[in-house]
Amino acid sequence: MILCCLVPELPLAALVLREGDVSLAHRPVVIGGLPSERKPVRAATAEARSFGICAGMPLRQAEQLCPQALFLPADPRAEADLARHLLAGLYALAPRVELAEGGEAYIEVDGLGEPMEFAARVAAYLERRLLSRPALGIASSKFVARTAAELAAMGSRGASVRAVPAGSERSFLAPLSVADHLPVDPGLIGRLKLFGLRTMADLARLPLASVEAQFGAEGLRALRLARGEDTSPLVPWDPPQRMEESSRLDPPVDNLTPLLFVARGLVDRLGTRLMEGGHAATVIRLSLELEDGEKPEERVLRLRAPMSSADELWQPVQGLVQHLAVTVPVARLQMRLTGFCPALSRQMDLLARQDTRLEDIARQLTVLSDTHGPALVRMPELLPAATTGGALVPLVEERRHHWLDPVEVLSARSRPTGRRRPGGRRP
Amino acid sequence: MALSALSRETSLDSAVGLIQARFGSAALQRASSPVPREVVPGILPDAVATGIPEVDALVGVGGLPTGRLSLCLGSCGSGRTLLAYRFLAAVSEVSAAVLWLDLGRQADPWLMGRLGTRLDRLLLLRPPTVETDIRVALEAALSLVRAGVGGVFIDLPARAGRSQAWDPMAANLAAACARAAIPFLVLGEAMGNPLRYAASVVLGMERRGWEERHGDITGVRLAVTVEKNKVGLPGRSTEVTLAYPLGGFIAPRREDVAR
Repeated sequence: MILCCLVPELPLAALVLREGDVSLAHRPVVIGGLPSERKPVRAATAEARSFGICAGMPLRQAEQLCPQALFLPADPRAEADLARHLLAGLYALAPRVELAEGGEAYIEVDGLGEPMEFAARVAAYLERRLLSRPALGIASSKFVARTAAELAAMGSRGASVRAVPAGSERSFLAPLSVADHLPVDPGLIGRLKLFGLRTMADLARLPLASVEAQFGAEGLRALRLARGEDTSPLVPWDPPQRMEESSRLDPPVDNLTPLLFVARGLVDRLGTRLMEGGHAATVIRLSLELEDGEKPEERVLRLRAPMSSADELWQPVQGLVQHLAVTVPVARLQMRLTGFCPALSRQMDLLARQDTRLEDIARQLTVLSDTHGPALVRMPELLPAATTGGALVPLVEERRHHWLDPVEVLSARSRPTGRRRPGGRRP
Repeated sequence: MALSALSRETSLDSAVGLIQARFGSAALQRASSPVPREVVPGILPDAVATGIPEVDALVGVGGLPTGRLSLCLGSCGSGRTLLAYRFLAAVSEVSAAVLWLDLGRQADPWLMGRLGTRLDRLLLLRPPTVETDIRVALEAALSLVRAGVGGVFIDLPARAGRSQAWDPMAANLAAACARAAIPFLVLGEAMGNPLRYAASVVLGMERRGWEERHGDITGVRLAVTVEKNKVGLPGRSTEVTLAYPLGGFIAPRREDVAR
């Protein structure tokens, strides 16, 4: 089962926490910008909403509805920070948590006890952090859980949990409007309306093949969602990790030779930890605590390739230390590794899927073309007549598509935009 | 006597425990293990969904496995090409380039595009003549796999699957696909034993009937049977209905080409 937590007023909570003024939440506050700006309302307090203000409304209109409201710009950085903190907090409650782009969080609740009790714990945590009560939905899939949470949010002002038992997803979704709840292309929603398909039940009762024939792949996806058959997996959040080793120098040293000796010891300890964990690091941070209490010096080195052993790490660290200008004695040396990835990935690069090697493929295609002729490997492109004709397909194959040179297409894709060809004019 | 049997059982348990502790629980298992398994335990192979949920469920790993040879067998009109085009669409979504060896010379880019394949990622390898150039085609495919294509599909003409020239080269290609961990699907009417032996998944396709609407054929009903499965349970079968893409229009995605 999956629990969906909807946090609709995240911008507001971020602002309240940033300002440290809880009273903001109880005043008419509109977030999005100044009324003179042509921007939509991103969030509003309950006081402001009581005047008819809602998210998405133009700020100018919000000012007309509630002139006394306080208009504040949104703070994306504070929102991102808050979302990250929320995610870390939810991760402490459950091991598999996903924060989606829309601001909602999904938690896998299997094995975490009674789902409703767990939902109550999550609600209490979010209420404590956000100073407002969230809406929660529990169901067997992400789409149904989110829909349940949306209904819970509309149901009452307070925190509410809506659970959909497994097996009853289709009946739960049946009366709901496709326009309000289906996360599909608006164009498809318009077409569904033209066919008189307004509720999930209208759509769900249609045969799969007919829907696919009429609406294509997106229609098929909509049909599966309407039937409650959402197979999108929960993508769990992987918390950032770091490894740290430090050594206090007593007495403090102002010479590079002992500093290099200590740094080598730290690298050895970090290398052992990397090997034990099967990790490879991509960023090294070296921090020097100075004797006279001055601000510590910090050097950051981003490695070209992930490194997973002490011997590999030593070369860049040695270069980093040798370039230090030590004028004040160093009292403490600290080394921190971040940017982890599995240690095997670097080794497995030779064996892993090489989808991104477009240049290699293009080079190999050139060799094949030179050896066996350009007709051996080709790339089709549909002609406009074949793509706009709907069911009227040209019977002659040559009128449906023509052939492109795959070398040119792949080379164009692998070449960064705006980069000039070596020795040639800008294309 | 009873004590001796008990002692033997204890020793056996201890030895099995030691082996499992050292090499993992999948290294050695009792044949009478009561644990019901959907798939063979151990490290599951990565799989790419075929785009047909019934077939994904049938194989047991959510699609056709990557790095392993899969065969899709069926007579003419059995729907194997339709299934392969769906799978091609799924692979082209996640790969930079996909290779289709059109040894049967029947590939239809229009239908591929209608079923969702990203044509700007499709490399269609079509040798001038099948009989003499099968070796050339396979060598070219091998070099492209080593260069980094994200999936290989081979549509064999009738009888080519039993050709003597096919097996050793196909084995090399299968090994290269395994090293690159990319999906490798071969379509044909029948296959020789060596290729069947090397395959991890063999799907048998059979047409059960047509889907009709207002007198027009709009789709096909297929029976899909897992004739061999090294990554899940073999022997299962299901019936699926695949629609022909004639009613709606699926726009091709050409943003990459334009870019």
